[in-house]
Amino acid sequence: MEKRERSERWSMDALASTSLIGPPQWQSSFWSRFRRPTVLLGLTFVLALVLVALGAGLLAPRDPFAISNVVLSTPSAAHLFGTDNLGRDVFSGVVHGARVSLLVGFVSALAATLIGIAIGGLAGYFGGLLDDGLMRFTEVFLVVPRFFLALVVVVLLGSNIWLIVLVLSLTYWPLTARVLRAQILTIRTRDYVQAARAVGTPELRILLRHVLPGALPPVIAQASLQIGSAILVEAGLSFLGLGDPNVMSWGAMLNDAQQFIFNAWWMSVFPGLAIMLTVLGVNLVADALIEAWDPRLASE
Amino acid sequence: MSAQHGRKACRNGWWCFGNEIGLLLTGAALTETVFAWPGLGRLLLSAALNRDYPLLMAIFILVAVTVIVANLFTDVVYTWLDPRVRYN
Repeated sequence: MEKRERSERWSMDALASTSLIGPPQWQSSFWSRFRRPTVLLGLTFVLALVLVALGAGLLAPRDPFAISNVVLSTPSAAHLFGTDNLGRDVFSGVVHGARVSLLVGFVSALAATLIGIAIGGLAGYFGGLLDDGLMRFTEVFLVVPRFFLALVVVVLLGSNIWLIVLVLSLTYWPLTARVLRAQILTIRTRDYVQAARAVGTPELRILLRHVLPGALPPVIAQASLQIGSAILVEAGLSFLGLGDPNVMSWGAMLNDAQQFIFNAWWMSVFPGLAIMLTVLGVNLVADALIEAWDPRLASE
Repeated sequence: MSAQHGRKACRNGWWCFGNEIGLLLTGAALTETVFAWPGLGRLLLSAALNRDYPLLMAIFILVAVTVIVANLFTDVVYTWLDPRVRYN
């Protein structure tokens, strides 16, 4: 019964948004994908995390680096998530760590998406020799093992959060470029693009105004997946002791917690949970985005 | 589900194989550190930390060769998965 109603609503939406010329319209069924409890939970968590990261200075009761003589204290009212071996407050560390994780995730995904759009867009739209050249160039970057490169660069050039962001964006863009190119290849032959060309619209303007908007949805979905993946790489590097020592990050806290895992579970459980829930939340939102733009992928 | 179905289903996922091999080779550094396994990832980490450039270079070459061979293998197997694909 409910299924029938939904399919009727979809067909109504499809009718309402059908336009014979012009890029695909945003459908109102788009938001229906976000009404599922798991997706709402993920979205709420990510938004809450962004607020925590922005207000870390106000929210954290102490300086995450401030040491005290209350060492390895169990979680209590004074220390919500306990303290570590140097008496640093784990809760303040987790709150400040959100900044690093989200910064690395969002900035590297954004940079990779911009590079990917530029290269994938040019390759897909203009085709020919430019396409061949750019795609071979893309493949060179695609096969570089990401963690391997990040590890070597950070060890040899020194640990800096922006260096990690740079390495990650340089290794993530090929995926975006390929997705966008494939998308543009199917769009550039559509009638409305031909029509735009027929009335003499400059090529670059057709690409930016008529082709790109319709090709972007899968790219944005790809970018949201990259956020979770980038957060994991940064946590992995910090876990190996290669993170930026000037900022508190979840991976670095796990690295410190390793030696005390049998004495102080709270040192590893809370930063670990933070990483897991963040990546899970980001990926839930990413999945909803992918499904919203391509209902064929819906698992229901 | 016949062998034919399996072949058709594998096509879409198979292209990742060559790329993932490179990641697997060195991405295991985390697992190796946690469980103290003497693997390639941990070797790379200690080589980089100690600035052991000859060892670093050897690992680079090993990973590069493996990635290239794995990609070649991917392409060859792809012609079997999807007979429409031909390389000239």
